Amino acid sequence: MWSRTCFHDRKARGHLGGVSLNTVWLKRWLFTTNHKDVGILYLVTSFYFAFLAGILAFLMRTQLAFPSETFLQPPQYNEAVTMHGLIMVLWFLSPLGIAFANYFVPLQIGAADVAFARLNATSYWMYVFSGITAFASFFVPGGSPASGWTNYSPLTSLQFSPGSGETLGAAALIVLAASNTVGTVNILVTILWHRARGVSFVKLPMFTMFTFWTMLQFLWAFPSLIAGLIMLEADRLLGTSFFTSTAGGSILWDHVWWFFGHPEVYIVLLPAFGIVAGIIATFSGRPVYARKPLFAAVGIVVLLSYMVYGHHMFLTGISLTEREVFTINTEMISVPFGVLMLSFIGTLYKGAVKLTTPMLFALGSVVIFVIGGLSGVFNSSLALDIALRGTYFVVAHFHYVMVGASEFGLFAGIYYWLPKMTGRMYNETLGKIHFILSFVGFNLIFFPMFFLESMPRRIVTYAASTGWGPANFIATVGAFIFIPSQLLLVYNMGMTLRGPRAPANPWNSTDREWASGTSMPHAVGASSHGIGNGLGNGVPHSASESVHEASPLSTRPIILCLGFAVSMAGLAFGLPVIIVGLVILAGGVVGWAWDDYRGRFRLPEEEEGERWPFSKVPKDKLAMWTFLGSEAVLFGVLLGSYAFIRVNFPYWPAPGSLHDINVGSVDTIIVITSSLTAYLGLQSIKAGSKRGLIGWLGVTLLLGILSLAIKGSEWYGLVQGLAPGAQIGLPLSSYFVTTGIHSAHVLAGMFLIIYLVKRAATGGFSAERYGTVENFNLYWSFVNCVWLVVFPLFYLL
Amino acid sequence: MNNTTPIAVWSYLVVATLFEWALAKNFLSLSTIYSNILIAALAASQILTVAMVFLRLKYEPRGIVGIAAASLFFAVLAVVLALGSIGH
Repeated sequence: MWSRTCFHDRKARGHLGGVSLNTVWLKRWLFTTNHKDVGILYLVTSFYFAFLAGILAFLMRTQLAFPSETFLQPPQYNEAVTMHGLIMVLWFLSPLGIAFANYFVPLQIGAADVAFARLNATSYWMYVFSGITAFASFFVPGGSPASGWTNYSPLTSLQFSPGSGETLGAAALIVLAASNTVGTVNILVTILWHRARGVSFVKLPMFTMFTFWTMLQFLWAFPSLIAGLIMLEADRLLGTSFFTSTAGGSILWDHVWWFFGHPEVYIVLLPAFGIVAGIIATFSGRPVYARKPLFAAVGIVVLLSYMVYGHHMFLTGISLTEREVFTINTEMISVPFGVLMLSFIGTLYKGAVKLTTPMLFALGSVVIFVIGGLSGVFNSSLALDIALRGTYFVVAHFHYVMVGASEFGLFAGIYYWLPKMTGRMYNETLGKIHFILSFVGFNLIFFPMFFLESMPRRIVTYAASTGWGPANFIATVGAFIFIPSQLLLVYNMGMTLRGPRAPANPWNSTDREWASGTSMPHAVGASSHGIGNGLGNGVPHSASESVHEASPLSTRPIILCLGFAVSMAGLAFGLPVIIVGLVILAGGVVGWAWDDYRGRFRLPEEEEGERWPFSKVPKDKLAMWTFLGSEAVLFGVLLGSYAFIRVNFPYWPAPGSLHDINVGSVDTIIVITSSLTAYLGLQSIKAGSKRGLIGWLGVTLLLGILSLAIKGSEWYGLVQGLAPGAQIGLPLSSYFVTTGIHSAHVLAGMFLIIYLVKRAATGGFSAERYGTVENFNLYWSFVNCVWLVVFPLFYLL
Repeated sequence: MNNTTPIAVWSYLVVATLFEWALAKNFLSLSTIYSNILIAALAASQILTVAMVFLRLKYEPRGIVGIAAASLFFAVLAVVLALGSIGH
């Protein structure tokens, strides 16, 4: 049974007596932790951000419609270009895929919900607040970020972006990256641990399978973005010199950015292709052709996506060998994509194709991808890329691949699953008109750009004598068709709520999500009380769906995320804002821990299903390991930056000249000892000794404090040696940021110890129940492992 | 695993750290290159030991080892690809 002791629930129920339904409705959407609700929230919010980014696109295309246009001033244009790219990629396309993952992955694998319901709400609210923070940058002195969506260095430096918008934008991206990391761990554990009996890995529905691979990309790509943004913020706020250094600073940013940025292309694309694969199979009336090779091909795409990013850097002067390697890798990645296309075509071959709206969008996605993919082969060639880099040819290419193919695939998903989400049918005619206008509009915008291979990107205007006018005018006409036509989708979605009831399985799909029929969105925490949700009757159509219906509400995620976002925004607004944010954040964290401590947020145990290869691993532990996987890449990127800096820096201080080897060695022994004491604490509780656990945790805490005190004294000494106002040199920049992030991890671990001691003191752990202590041990040992890398690099070598 | 193993591991880690310290201080009068190779080898052995025993990778099922290995691969890849552009 669901735990209904949560005071949030009691409050929600208390309002049922006479308070308006709107209050209940609002509470539901603000405090929900249910995967369907979170999915719908992601969907609606991503559309809102798309609307804002679409307005920016309108502005840009209006500016470029005619030669010598002065509709926008250069700084405004730069802001529009930058924010359009960032918002479309990171706040619209990726989250739209996440919206479907939230809603449909549990349904497709037969899970009651995602693995961690509150974390799911947390990732959503971080996403929302990160977007608000990003848009707030338009209203700060100096305006929003204006250095392109790639945030190329040194354009992001204080010298070229002196306003606080860049700082705020980077802060927003950090919050978004944190949101994605949390969401990734959650959905990965859901797929790995919550599959129902019979849903083995090879039998995963297409969308879930593609989502699985996408989540792995999220897991290993976004830490690079976080690391880069932390270094960028340190440059802007603390005076470090990672990306302003003439010793390859801008190339270092390219590495850090594109290690994230290129996989991001596939992060956007793969969920859409997962939808497309399923839809093509459904509307061809045939199973997916070459299913296993398709599974392998997507895995190869994931692997190669990290090894091709150098093609974005062909003109930066990286070594010829590296350019050749990246050329080969980039050409290689077209092979698994070829397998994808063959699979799609093979599925269509001899199929009874039905050209419904979802199918039209799915086929549109494939056609657009083929055009974009073929143009990408040109860009993979080192010789051709030198001619095409930085021109509108590239703009056309990546819009075809990243935007068109993804967007059409995701729109296909909306039409395909609308009956499932609403219980009602959309207007097919309107859907087809939407497809035609979108397809024509999109190609009118971007196809002419292939012929603008001499026009540089990101220029605010051009002279009539260049001859670029006609193509630009056609592109603008296309934009004025494509962008407004999306209102048809919104209108159709809205009208669907009042449309005819949908059959239980309108497409005769064999995928599991249709097995339970179509249903209106449920009323979380209220359905059992007979409260409608404003969208329908609140009653699920089938009993089997009811397992997805009830999830406790929680105020904690929204509070925690608000605090996190405010504290990050404080980087741009000053210390008082940071403090306010941290206070709110602490309130959210303490409340969360309090709910756990009192057992107020409890979900039912699920029947054990397919968990290979993690059948003997508790899900919390699996989540911790997954999270540590992301952390490993975070520190890998930081240490990669260190290695890059060290090798390129003309003079590196000799060991012992900057850092005291004796002090570092003592600190290392303390760190090592703390791993032992944490471990002995775990052994104690396994043996049933609560006092032993508390004692060893106490010693671990003291060792942590001692280690931080030593680092603090080292930092103090080094800061004292700096000239006031001078930029911090690369050796110290790298030291401060790497050890700073490590120390932040130690500090977080110390808070965890305090929580564990509190829980242990009240009997929260026993010889049978010690999972949280074990997970803490993993975290602590991992952080200590990192120190064992950091210590020799900075102190000894 | 009883408590003897972690204490033995801890002892090794401390001794290795002291050895690293002695090498960095050049008490062993080795040339810099040999000294650095030894320090790197000692550090690698320490990391492996902590990972195997305190992170318990030695006792975990293959799935967990797979997550750890794949993550380590991408972490190392980040370092290698950044280093690849030396001499730009």
